[in-house]
Amino acid sequence: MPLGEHARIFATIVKAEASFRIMELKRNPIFTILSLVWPYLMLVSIYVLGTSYGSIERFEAAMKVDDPILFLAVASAIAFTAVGVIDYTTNSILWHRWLGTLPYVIMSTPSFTAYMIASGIVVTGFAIAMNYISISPLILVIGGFESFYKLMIIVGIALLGMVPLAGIAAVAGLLSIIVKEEGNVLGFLNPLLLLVSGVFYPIEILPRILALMSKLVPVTYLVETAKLVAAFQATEVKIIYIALYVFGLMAIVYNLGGGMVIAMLERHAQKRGVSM
Amino acid sequence: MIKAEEAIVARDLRKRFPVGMGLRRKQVEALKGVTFTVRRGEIYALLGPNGAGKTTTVRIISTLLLPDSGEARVLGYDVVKDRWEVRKRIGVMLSVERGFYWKLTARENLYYFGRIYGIPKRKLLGKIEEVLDLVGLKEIGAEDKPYEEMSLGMKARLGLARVLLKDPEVLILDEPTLGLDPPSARMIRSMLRSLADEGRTVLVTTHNMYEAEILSDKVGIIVSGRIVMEGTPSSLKRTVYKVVPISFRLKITPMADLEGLRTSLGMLVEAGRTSITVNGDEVRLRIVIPRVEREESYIEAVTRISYEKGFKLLEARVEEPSLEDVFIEVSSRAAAN
Amino acid sequence: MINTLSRALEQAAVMTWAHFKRAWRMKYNMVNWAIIDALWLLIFIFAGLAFTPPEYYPRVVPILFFSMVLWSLMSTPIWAIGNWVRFYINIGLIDEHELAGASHVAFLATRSIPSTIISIISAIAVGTILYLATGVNPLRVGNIPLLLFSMVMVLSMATAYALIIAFAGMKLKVPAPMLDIMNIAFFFIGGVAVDVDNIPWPLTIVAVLTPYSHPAELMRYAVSGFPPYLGFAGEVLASIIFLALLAAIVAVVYRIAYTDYRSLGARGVGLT
Ligand SMILES: Nc1ncnc2c1ncn2[C@@H]1O[C@H](COP(=O)(O)OP(=O)(O)O)[C@@H](O)[C@H]1O
Ligand SMILES: [Mg+2]
Repeated sequence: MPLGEHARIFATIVKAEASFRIMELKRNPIFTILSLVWPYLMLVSIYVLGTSYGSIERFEAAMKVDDPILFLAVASAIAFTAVGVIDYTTNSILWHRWLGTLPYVIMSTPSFTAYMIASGIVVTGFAIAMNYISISPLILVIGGFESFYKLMIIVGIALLGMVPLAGIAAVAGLLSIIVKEEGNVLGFLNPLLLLVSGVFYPIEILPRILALMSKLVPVTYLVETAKLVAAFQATEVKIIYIALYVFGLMAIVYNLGGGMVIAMLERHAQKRGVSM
Repeated sequence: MIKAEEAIVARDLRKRFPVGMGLRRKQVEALKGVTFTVRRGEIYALLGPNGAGKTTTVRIISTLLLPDSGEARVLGYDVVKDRWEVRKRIGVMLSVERGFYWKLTARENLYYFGRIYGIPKRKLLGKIEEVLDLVGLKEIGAEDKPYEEMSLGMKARLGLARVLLKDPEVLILDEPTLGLDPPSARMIRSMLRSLADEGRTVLVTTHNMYEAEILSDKVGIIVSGRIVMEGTPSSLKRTVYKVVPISFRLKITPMADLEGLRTSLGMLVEAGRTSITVNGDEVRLRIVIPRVEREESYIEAVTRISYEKGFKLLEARVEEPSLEDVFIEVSSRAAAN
Repeated sequence: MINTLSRALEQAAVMTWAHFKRAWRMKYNMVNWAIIDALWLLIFIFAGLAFTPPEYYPRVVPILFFSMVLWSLMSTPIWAIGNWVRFYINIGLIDEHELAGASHVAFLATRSIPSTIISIISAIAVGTILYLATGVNPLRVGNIPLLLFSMVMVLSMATAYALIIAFAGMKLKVPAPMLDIMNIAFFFIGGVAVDVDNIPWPLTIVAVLTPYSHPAELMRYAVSGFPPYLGFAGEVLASIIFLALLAAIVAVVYRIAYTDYRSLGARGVGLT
């Protein structure tokens, strides 16, 4: 197939996936409202839990942030964006499996890799949009326009930080097809990611192995950058660049690795069939 | 009064279901007064297309569903008021692929349900082996296969095995051969036949004419919630049905024009009463005509048309009407009303 | 009477047997669930610890740990029962049990027995990691029998709650876990995560009216000798009364859903 044809198919998938997501939000208002409320629920839960055993001042000192509430809001949004990206991707594969459309998707003209990347892009955009739309009123109220502006920078960085996740999510989703089980066998991926990335607590609390694992997870760097942007000291802006480099590197490594694994799984699926 | 030889009696059963929500809420009338009687030791087939109300009828007779009005009795017991008495005496198979614990094997499932039915353990264990044997699950080595891994045929056999576990006087089965492989379907039919020969009563639904014809003593044709015709398979064919099918074998020559043949036949015979299948270099043609007309004139006409369109007549034969012909006739008449 | 009772017990026993068989055949799935459960609990525990100075760990860690174990016990039945009621209807088990005269409530309720295994595995994992991270042994507990009592009470209440949303879901034709809006509120402001005494005034009423808060108060008393809000006897009594109340609600909601099932059929109360 010529390159133009590939691009056309790719664009079609992106459009289809986007209109599917929008349709879903419209058709299921309860779900939409719930997704907008989630970051707040997380924020309030952690605040209530934490302050009943300790104090917010202690949290502020431990996390080294100026405004702990603002930070918790952004952290929740980051957490749920990551969860959203992985959930959407793995779930969309499970849906296809339950609906019985999976073999058609896998065996259709555009390669499955193209399908995964195209829908991954849409899904990432959606997850980020939903979560930041959700917290922006709070940010505006507590921090005013300056904080809102910072939030925009964080959104931009988050966009890049999620790119490496797409590769992980795609592989995860595909693996869950090949493993013949009913549930989402990779459901542990989300909480594991959140656990080791230290979204709600300093990494130093974790046992050593988990602290080491955190270095491999893009969300960790995202949280660090968010802290810096929230503090916004000129000297530390350089560190943001370092985070961006890390994302770039991870994006290449994870997505290339992911692409290879997917291609392998695709061959496997075509040879062995997909367990339904 | 219910006579002793009447095992199942349904009188004017009616049932509506709500569909849709809120303002778009409507009612569908699933049963519009279903009446029939099944005699002891008889196999009664409820024959009808999808959505006719077979399942609804079966669920009411087996005490699962409450009718809006009307009455049904099984062995003299009312299916609403004396439902426990009815349940003790019936064996029900609601579907060929549902109603079992997925993660348990065939044997474990039978043990599970046997215990739920309250069959004493000692007796149950022997009975399980017996029914597994009877339905042929042992023969194909499926008795220790988890339900979720079984083929449809195995699942259906297991369904029948569970019915037999209870030793019921009356068996009620909803499309028990739906989608089965021929050996499993044949096995189920012959089991039902021998159970009826033992004096048990069988109510079975199907949308398969062939099955109703070869299996049952009596057929009730149900269309849109009403029993539109009832009788023995042969009486339905013979007396009530005033149609004659004629089949032809035609040889295809190089000049053959199939479309032309179709068009010309369309002018000769009413729509929906012709079927044409191509088989190698032969065409099989089947037309159904009203009994009042003369068969010879139709055979002559078809011979002429096929000659004109480049076919050579090999054989023409007047057939016995099948239940399917009856069924199409009845359905189109019910739709017209 | 005796006959009916022994028949019911026999049925409950064979149901539990079947659920355990299923759990065993799905053991990898169960472990996977336990891992997921443990990871979420750890996220909240560590977040809680981020608010606490390390010198308070010996006092905070065991209570925080057991609060989260209660959370796990509160939530597994929602999946084991609330989510499963859909399968129960759609795979036709409901009709077979109805024909056999078996109790639908018993079938669903006994499902929370094997699902407790998930909470147990998860608790062991969380306890171990917590010990590695803080050096505090979370299992240093004052009164083990009382702790077990409080956990059994929470599990029973959670089972009742899951049955309520399962049958309400049948009536309303929505997936039962979607109806579960209360659990998380119960946990945070209902006196499970936070002791009732520490909850700001008007919310204290909410906490006292939350069934779970009473066994949770007993748990805190058992773990660290922390005096219960209503006193020891008061909390025991309240636990029992609330459990009975939940059971009564189960009975009512069940009747309503069952009436629908009988008149609309399994198709009318199922979701597909
Ligand atoms: N629970 C239900 N809710 C709504 N409509 C139903 C329900 N059960 C059956 N129906 C409707 O009643 C009619 C008869 O259905 P059914 O008895 O299942 O037919 P059959 O078994 O002959 O295919 C159909 O139109 C069907 O859609
Ligand atoms: Mg049917």
